[in-house]
This record gives sequence, structure tokens and C-alpha cells, in this order.
Amino acid sequence: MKKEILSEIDVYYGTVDMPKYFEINRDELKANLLNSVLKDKSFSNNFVIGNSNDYQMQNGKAFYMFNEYIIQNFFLKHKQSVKNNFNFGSIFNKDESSITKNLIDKYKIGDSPDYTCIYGIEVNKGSQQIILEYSNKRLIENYLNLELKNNEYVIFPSVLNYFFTRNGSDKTNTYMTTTYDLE
Amino acid sequence: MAHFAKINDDNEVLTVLTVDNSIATDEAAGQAHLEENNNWPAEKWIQCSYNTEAGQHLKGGTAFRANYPNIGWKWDATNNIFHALQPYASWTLNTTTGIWEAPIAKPDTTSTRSDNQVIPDSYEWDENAYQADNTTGWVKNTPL
Repeated sequence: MKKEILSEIDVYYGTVDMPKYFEINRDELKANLLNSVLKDKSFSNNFVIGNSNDYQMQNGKAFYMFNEYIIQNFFLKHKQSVKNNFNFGSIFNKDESSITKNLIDKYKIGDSPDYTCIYGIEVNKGSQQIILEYSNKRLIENYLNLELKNNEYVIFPSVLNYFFTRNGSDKTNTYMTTTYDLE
Repeated sequence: MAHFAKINDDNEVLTVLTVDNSIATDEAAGQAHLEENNNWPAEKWIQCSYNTEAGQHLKGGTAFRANYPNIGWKWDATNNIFHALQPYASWTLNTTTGIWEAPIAKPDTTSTRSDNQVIPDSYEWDENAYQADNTTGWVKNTPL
């Protein structure tokens, strides 16, 4: 009896572990995001359904450092070579949640990303979860509940549907989403 | 061009970048340039030699830090060498060549093919066999 794995649902997660004094400047990321909010630069493209929580992100130094970290550690730890596709930021005020979406454009599969990465810029402890929907051998709708803390990330296949639960705190939560193509 | 390995806090090589020799007049100058332009601390850029392998310089020059590293290799500051990850628990690092060496020398045997050509035999290390009996370890590959 032979076995072939046709696909796998691989989820990666961790803390962005940078050298001392070279940590990701999350204040810069948050400022970039808030700047887009002030200028009403909402984010949408063919892949992402317009969502009132999503805004454009400028690719400054902090973004560059984060992106380098993910690309280099993906290869170092998992021998997967990836390149950045598109990015955006998300902001959730009190009681706000997101719609369910994935980042695949079913009409442009070739241009769609392989992996979605969500990074916690500023997340109030215990206030919000990210829910990933996935199928197993019996159930189509299984849910993986994740809670990102500041400076933590999760990476998952872009075909997965996901959403953010309601922000249960009085403070704003901010995230950055980056996407990657396999090379 | 001067080559510099970018290492993390675990001394794992993340990537290798080049710097023009006119900028990297010495290692410190190259490190300073890389820190300024690549947002990574100077002391975590370690110069390496593209032409050094197993403690030898491939073009007859002076070997430098034993090996040109691949991504995922380790920087060993104590011995001033780059080396691959330990392949088997029983193997030890030659701190001059940066090469991991088996506790038993690989047999140097040959076989004669049906067309009378003599070829070296191929062996693979079996760590389990060595752990069970430390006089064995190399297992001859048998042609299909």
C-alpha cells in the first residue's frame, strides 16, 4: 500500500526574534497604518474583499526588517524559498470584528499568494482571536483559534478562510498582513 | 567582492551578501556598511571566503575560516570557522577544516565491474549500527 500526500495545511507561528537594539519598530508600523487611516487609504485589490478594517501600509524600514526576517527564517527552518506579494494593515477598534475571507483571487490563481502572514503590531492581551477555517478528513469546517500577542506572527496557506473575532477590549488592536509566493 | 555571512543569535547563517572591496577595506568596514544598509548589527556580519572549502583555498591562496557557508550552517566563533550541522551524534568536528568526521575511517575499497572497470565502493554511515557496536558504522551500498 503506497501513500501520497496531495496537500497539507501547514501553519507556522512564532515571535519575531531580532538581535538586541535591532527589534522591529512596531511604533513605526502602527504610525504607517494610522497615517493611512487618517488619509482614508483603505486597502483592497483583486484578492482582498474590501473591508473597512483594512488599510494600505507603507513599506518602511520596519516593514523591510520584518519581511527579511520571515523570508530568511522560512528558508532557514523549513527550506521554503518565498517572496513577498502584497501587504496591508488592519485596525480593530472596540467591538469590531472582520468578515470571513481568504486571499485567493479565484479568477487569477497564478497571481494569488501561497501564504498569508499576520503579524501582531499592537494587540491587547486576551482581546481578540484569529480563526482559521480548515477541512480534515471528515469535517469541512474545522476552526483553529489563534491569539497573537505583540510581535508574534502566524503564517498559513492563503486558500484558508479566516476572520478576526470581536475586539473585546477598549483599546485598538493593529495587525499587519503580508503575503508570500513560493519560489 | 568581499563576502559576509549574516548570522542570528544562534549563530545560524541566514544569508550571505557581497560588499565591494573598495568599501570593505577590512572586515570592520564591511560590517559597518552592512549594519547601516541592512538593519542588522555589525558584529553579526561575519566575513567569509568564497574560495575556501574544507580548510583549503581552492585557488591556492590562504584559506579563511575553513568554509564558505551555506544557509543554515553555523558560525563557530571559538574556532573561527564556518561549518555544517552535525550529521550524526558520533561524528566530531575537525576545527581546522570545519568538516565533521566519523569515528571510524570510511573503508577505501573498490569493486571490479563486469566490463573490468575498477570503481570505488560507495558507503553510507549507519549511526544505529555504530551505537550498537562501535567497531562498525560504514555500510556498503549495494548496486540495484
